[in-house]
Amino acid sequence: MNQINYNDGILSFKLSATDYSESVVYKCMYWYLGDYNVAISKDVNDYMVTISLKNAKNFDEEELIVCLKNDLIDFKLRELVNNETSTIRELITAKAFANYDFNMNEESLHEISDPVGFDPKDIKL
Amino acid sequence: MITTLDQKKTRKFKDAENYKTETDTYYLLPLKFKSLNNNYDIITNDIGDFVIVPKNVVTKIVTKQLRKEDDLEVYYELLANFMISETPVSELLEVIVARYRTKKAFLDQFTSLHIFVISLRCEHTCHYCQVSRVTQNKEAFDMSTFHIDEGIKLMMQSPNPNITMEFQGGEALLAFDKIEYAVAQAKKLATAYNKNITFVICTNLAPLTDEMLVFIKDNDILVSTSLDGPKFIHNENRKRPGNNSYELTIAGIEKCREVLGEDKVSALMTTSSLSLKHPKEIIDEYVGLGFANIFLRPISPYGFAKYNPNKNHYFIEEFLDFYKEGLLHILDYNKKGIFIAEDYASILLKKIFTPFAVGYVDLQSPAGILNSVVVFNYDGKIYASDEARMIAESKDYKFQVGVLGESSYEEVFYGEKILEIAESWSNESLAGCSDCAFQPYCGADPVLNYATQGDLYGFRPTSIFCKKNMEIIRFLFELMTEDKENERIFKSWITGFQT
Repeated sequence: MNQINYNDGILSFKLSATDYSESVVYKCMYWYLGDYNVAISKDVNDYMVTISLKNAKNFDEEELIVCLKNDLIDFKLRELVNNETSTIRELITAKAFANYDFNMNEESLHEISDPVGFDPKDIKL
Repeated sequence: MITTLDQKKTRKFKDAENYKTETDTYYLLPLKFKSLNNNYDIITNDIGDFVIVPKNVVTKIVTKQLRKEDDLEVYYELLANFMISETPVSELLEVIVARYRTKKAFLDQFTSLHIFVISLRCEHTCHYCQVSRVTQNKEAFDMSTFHIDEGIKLMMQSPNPNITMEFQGGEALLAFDKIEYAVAQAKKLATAYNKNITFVICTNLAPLTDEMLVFIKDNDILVSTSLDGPKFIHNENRKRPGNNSYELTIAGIEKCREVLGEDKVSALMTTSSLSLKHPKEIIDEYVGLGFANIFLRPISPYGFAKYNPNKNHYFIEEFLDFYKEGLLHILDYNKKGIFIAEDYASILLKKIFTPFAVGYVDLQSPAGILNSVVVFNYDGKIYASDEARMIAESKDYKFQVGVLGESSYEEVFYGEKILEIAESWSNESLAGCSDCAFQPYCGADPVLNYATQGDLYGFRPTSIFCKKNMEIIRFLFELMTEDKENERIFKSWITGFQT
């Protein structure tokens, strides 16, 4: 967070577009929309964010800044996870929902036995 | 490939050393995380596994700074719970896939709960009731035999072999002749369609007679009643001529237990503004009556209930205080050896601790509407859920999906309205939910979003659904990290097995 300013109930700051993607900035600020008015704009290098409380003028800006910094880190970490795992997640979902026919009565092609003494063929259906 | 006898020497686990690998490189599997409290974060995955770690460990994991030799316990916890893998594609991918499919198995079976609003008539005037009440004109406000027949025809077309036919009101027992007819008709068709039907009557028990009980017993029907707590709460919430709802309900419960058996009658409570101040008294009442479970339910923000704000309105935070105080009181009972479970927690705990899908309509993704429940109203209109019917009581027919006798099964269950709702019924794809660590335990509720926020998609930062579920799930995990005894009790609620 750069160029942090708090004046007359309005907190403004810049986030480097190199450090934070659009997705991280918007996902993070989404959770502040319940209590705050949030405006986000972008120039070449930075996102400019302004925040003001919806129902009151002044607030503890130090506390809010700590919260914002933590949340930005969390959403950045989530993006790292999503970037690394999106393909595997798609694979899991696609395989899980794939249509297939499963016939319980079909003869298994594999030998079924167990060396610890349990014979599944003993099960009475 | 056929395994030879030489290859399979034993299936016993080998020494721990055999499972240690030399690699120090790991790959992330799909995971989500969130703060549990000031000391811990929780990491979850799509199949419901969880690992609780001290603060700052998540950063180490994601940025690949976790070292096996330094953090052996955490490392293997993450590995065993499918949060990380030592190969680019997990060797146990098929296990993850099978478990994910199991979690979503409720979709294979489709609609199970079929609610028949058999009558809108009721002799109670509960101030929080979600539907309008009428006491006269049986012809106009009882379900016709034509609509009952058409509802049963649709019910028989459900792909689900196990279906529930639930009779609701108004007061369902006021139209007992219609219940008798409906049960007989459904039973006739059940054999032909190979359906196993569970019958349920939701009733305040006031109109219950001995003759009714004979029929209920003969047809193995379950009874679900309302009990809001001790007399001073119940009778204040549930008004009727004579102001004796509590006395009639208690007498009805005793009669049902005597004739039908202890396990054939259950009770539900609704939390009014008055109830908020008395969680312990309400729970004590249930324990005193010998119930082994209680469902601490907030008031529904639907239909008629909205128009009595003095008695019905409270903030979700007030309900959460009530719920937590109640849950702690319930845990105290269990610690003293008296088994009583809280139903909402039990549903969440099943999702947390078991690999199975949980058939609770309000906590499913895709949502339970139509996937698990459909409502046939007394007037023949078909709604996507009970809450959708309540919204319609305010003349808003957003979730009416058809008319009995006019709409085909395909029009009701695969029509354009459902396609529109389906865009907002998976929490995996909703803003605010998709990244949430509690998403696998939670659900999606477009009907509640519409009723409280004006659109199907909803807005998580101010959603009462989100606030309630996030805090209750967080509280459950916190209780388990604070005291292992709490975890043991919670597990006994889902297994019924007390150690």
